[in-house]
Amino acid sequence: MRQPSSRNFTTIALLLLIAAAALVAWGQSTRSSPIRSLFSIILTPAQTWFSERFSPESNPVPVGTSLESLRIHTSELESEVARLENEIVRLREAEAERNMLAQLLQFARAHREHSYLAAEVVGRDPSPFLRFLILNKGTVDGVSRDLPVVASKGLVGIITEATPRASKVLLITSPRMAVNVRLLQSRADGVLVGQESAALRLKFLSADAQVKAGNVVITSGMGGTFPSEIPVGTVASVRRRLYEVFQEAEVAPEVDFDHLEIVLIMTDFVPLNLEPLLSDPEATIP
Amino acid sequence: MLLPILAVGQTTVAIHFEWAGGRSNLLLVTVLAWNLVSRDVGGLLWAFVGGLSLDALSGGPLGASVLALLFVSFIGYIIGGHIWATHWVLPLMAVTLASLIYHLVYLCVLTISGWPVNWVTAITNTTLPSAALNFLLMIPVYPGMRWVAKRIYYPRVGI
Repeated sequence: MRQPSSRNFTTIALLLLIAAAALVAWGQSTRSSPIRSLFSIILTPAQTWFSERFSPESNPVPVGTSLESLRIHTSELESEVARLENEIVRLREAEAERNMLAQLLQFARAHREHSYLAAEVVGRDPSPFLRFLILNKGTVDGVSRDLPVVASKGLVGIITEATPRASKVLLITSPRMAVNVRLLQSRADGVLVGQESAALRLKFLSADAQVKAGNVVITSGMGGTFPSEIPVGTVASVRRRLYEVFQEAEVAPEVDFDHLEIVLIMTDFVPLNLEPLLSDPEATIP
Repeated sequence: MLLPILAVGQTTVAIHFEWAGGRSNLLLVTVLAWNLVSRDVGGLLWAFVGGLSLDALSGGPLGASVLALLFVSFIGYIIGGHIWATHWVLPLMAVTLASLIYHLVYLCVLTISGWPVNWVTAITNTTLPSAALNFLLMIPVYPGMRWVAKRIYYPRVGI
């Protein structure tokens, strides 16, 4: 093999390390990076192409390669079978897509107060530590940061980054996510946070609130980050200790995040900016 | 061109191959294998471009994968020069070590960037299964990279 001088390698390695550290620092100081946008513009079409071909539901049926050695009649029949099998796969795919769209339409009809944009999930975060989805709709379609994303069964997450042709959604299961929620039955408010596991943890529930397994959890709209009354999950178990001020609950999400293919972005939602109200209240008193 | 394609493959295809919370990393294995067989400055560039591609497709901090892959590249460079470099066990040991280092560096950057990280859960539930998957992935990738390196560095000459 070619052996470069060790000094050369070390110099280039150091330069690249400094560049990587600079990237990390730059990433901290800016909300949207042109480098990311540039890569995204280039890679999203490829990602869509891969996603369409390699999703588990759309594997094409392989056609036999030894047809030449068979008699013409058998060959014709076999190719016909292959064609029909492909057709079946295509139709099944279309049916699955139709069912998904029908469910999404049902959700949109039940929540008529908002406008929606359907987007396909074209990728997931490459890091196993992070919970992001990549959608095939971006700023040219009217997508912007902080828009809520839902599926037919409920809340999915929030748009954290949008490039012209793609956007990233932070899932509600991420430990970085906190959603203000309400229990449908008891109307008790709490905060739902993501965990390393798939389950969600409902915190800050008043100790005297009536909570039990099976209770439905919906968004409360408090804080203005999400609209109210979007289903989120159901209470799986409750942890109540006598000496604690709050009780906690494990919540099973309604949405199956591993098999999401199409989602809806609430394009007309305007998140409230409560920061001016929270900072130094005395300063606003005349 | 190969590395951005691998990054796209990582977000679309590799995500379907998960085991016990871990996920194989095509780029990590490819970059490491290339560094082991080539011991070339080009391996560092593979790490840089591959990491940038991964970061572009991730919602995580920009530069995290670049840094982590550069460390993987160093490991490949150091181990590749070892006297037992040609032994088949070495790449398998290297990929296990590289997976651990990659995840540790990545988790460090996440922590510095303010992401909530539960280190114990992350390492036991994600890093260790991922290392096992990368170990398996190295078995076909390493001979492939050796084949490519031989073709590049020892061109056939006609007499």
